[in-house]
Amino acid sequence: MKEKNKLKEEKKLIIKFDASLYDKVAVLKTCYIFQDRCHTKTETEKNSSIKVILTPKKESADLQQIENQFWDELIDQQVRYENDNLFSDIRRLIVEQAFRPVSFADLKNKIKKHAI
Amino acid sequence: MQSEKPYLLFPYRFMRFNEDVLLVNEAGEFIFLSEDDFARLLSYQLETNSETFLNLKSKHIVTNSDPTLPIYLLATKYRTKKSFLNDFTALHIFIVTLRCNQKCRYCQASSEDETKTEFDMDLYTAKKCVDMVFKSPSPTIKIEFQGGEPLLNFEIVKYIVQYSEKLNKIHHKRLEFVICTNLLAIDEQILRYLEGHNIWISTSLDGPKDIHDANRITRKGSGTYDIISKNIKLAKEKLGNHRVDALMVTTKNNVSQLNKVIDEYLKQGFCSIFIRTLHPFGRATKEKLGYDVETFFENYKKALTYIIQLNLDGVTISEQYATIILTKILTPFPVGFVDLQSPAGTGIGCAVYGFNGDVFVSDEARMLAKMGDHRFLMGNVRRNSYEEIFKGTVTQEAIENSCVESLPQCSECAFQVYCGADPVRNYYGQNDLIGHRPTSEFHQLNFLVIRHLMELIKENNQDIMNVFWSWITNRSIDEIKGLNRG
Ligand code: SF4
Repeated sequence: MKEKNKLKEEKKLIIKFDASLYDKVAVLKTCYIFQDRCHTKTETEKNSSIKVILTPKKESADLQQIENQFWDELIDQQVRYENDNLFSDIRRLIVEQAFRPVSFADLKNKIKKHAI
Repeated sequence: MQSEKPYLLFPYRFMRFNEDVLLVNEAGEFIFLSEDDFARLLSYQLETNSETFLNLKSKHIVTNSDPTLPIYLLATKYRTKKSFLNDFTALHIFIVTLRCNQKCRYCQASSEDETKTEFDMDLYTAKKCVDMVFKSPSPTIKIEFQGGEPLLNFEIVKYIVQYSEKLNKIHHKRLEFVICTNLLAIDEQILRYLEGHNIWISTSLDGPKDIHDANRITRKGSGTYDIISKNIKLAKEKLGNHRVDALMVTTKNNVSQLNKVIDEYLKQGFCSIFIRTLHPFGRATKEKLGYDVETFFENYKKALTYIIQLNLDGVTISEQYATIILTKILTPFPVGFVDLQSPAGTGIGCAVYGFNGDVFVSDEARMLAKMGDHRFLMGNVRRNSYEEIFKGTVTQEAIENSCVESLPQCSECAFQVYCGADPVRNYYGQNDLIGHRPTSEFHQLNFLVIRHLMELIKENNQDIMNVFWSWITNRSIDEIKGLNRG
């Protein structure tokens, strides 16, 4: 599923991919995490693709390794993003019940209302 | 919408963990899955009668029945994990003087000369501080005397102890005292007082003589090892072994010799050690005593292996940082360690009262003020009310910006429930209360230590797990083995 359009220039990694596959939130969170090893830049392109430019902070960085790590992290971030959407109601219910508890029967009704 | 699926997924955070995937639920319970099982879980293809499914169900990560019970149980466990929030500020640190008879190379307190009594807390301020402390709703009050060297203003220490005891006759709180002293000025009379008022001692010991004396020196520049070794012995004789504790600071002088430090702790009769990093405040930076996170972590790992082996050989000694994290990982309970909680303990778990009555969210916040930045000054006991100090914007901002549940990168981190945030360090090191996780040393170190402990837990070596449980429960390994058999 890896998109082809990567271009390795002098110590710079350009990764392009279809924006419909990954949410912007997942892309930005991946770039954020990569700031420990790279300067990151994101651009959107006309043909609905996203371009990420990674410039390693260390001269000795292994570009292939960075690219592999980037794809792995991007997929995990996309899963997390989808999980967050899936879990947001349940999470809120757990925290609410923890700090403002209601009876078991009332909790059951609340859960029904949220159509979980 | 999950209702049409064969099972329901509950909130969890995940992380690739070597060949497997670590999943942690909202209350910190965890499970390792193979990559294949994780993929099956996500695509709702797990067999609901499989062992993996049942294990996940027992951790409230999935359910194929009414979700009310797991949500109810998760909420109860979540409440227990966050129960440190119930009580509000329990730890109150009194800086009774800035004067000190030592001038340690890494001192973050930037101490003053012994003669400068203008840096002593006076009676009026001390009274105001104690009045403020007893306004805290916490059923436990721990007053910790720090400095400078608190023994140089011992009359005020005595006043604070006696006035607190008097007030406590009305308030009936669990009242504890600790004096953090370098022990240079201790004598029989002071020890008798400490014994009479159940005051514990926390002293400093950086290792054997050559290591200790490299950093911990008198104002004239001579080493303090000989005298403090003698006084540790004396204090233990008078107060009992358990009421005298010691702390060490890791500097570039001892980071690669931690085994020697551990041996010294055993030699001096201590049965636990807290391998602490150097805080980047005060003189430590100027004296270039630091090291990078990787160096610390590699040496910490070796030291931990050494301590575990000592326990397996029948010697009782625990490492306190590992114990705190292991307790968070393996038990449902909070630890009450203000440096590693969410929200941070700044102001709500701990408050620091300067010699002039200024109140700070932490000791590092006080140091910042000493360096000219009063960003974390909550108020002053002489001018402000309890509400102004503890419910003011400084405290609120520190809390708002230290909830790992909403901090960038932490919000998705599988270690979130075991970790915490330090807005003061973020502000000092990165100019921002929220901080920048990818370049934060706080994150790097906690990530590495938690991951290492998780690796050991995953290995599930029964001997090592017995050592861990003996640390968590404060029991001997034999007792733990007995419990396992029972
Ligand atoms: S500081 Fe690091 S290890 Fe801790 S929760 Fe945040 S991201 Fe995870």
